[in-house]
Amino acid sequence: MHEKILASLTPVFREVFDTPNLVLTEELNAKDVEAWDSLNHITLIVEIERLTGLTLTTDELVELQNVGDFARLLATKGYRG
Amino acid sequence: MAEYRFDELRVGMIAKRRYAFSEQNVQSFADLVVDRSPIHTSHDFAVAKGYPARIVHGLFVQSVISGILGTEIPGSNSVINTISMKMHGPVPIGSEVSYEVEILALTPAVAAVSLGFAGRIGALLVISGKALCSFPQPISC
Repeated sequence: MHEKILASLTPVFREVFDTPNLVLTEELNAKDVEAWDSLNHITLIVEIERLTGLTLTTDELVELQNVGDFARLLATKGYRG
Repeated sequence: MAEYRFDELRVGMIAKRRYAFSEQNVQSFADLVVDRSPIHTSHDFAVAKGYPARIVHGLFVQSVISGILGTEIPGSNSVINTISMKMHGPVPIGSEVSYEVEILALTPAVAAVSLGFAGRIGALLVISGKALCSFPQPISC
């Protein structure tokens, strides 16, 4: 549903988690990626804000359960990938 | 020692520091990290490679940035998440480097601070880079 957004996020996730072959799916979450710890999560959010030009809030982030939720949040804030 | 809260920081805040790389502290660094490469420890070797004197370890030159981040901006309430640097030129032992660190962006959602830094000998740029720091939150359970 958000293939274009997932495609644009893929290089960011691969770089932050140093996982060149990481494939983003809507179901993917932090438990699925070994390097997705609290420090890398911060870097991920910073890089996604930089990519999208959006400003995210803590309240928005705590609601996210997986990459699909992330893509939907970005879409509702106007990002198209 | 600066103890900023995240909400006290602003884009454009700058911290400056000067550091002189003496013979003694370069030798101490070499011993500490067990890097006694002759470019750092042998005058003749360094001169043969075209340098005016032995040169300071690049990571020693960078390490001063750690002190600025941890004690000035963002200060003692923050930790370094990532840091990257580029060496633009050698720092001969005996040089004094003038450092400047600037806050480039703030990410309130995760209390993260993006910074840029540079170090110069006189007007000559010798190091530059970027850092990402964050403010650890107490874990409640």
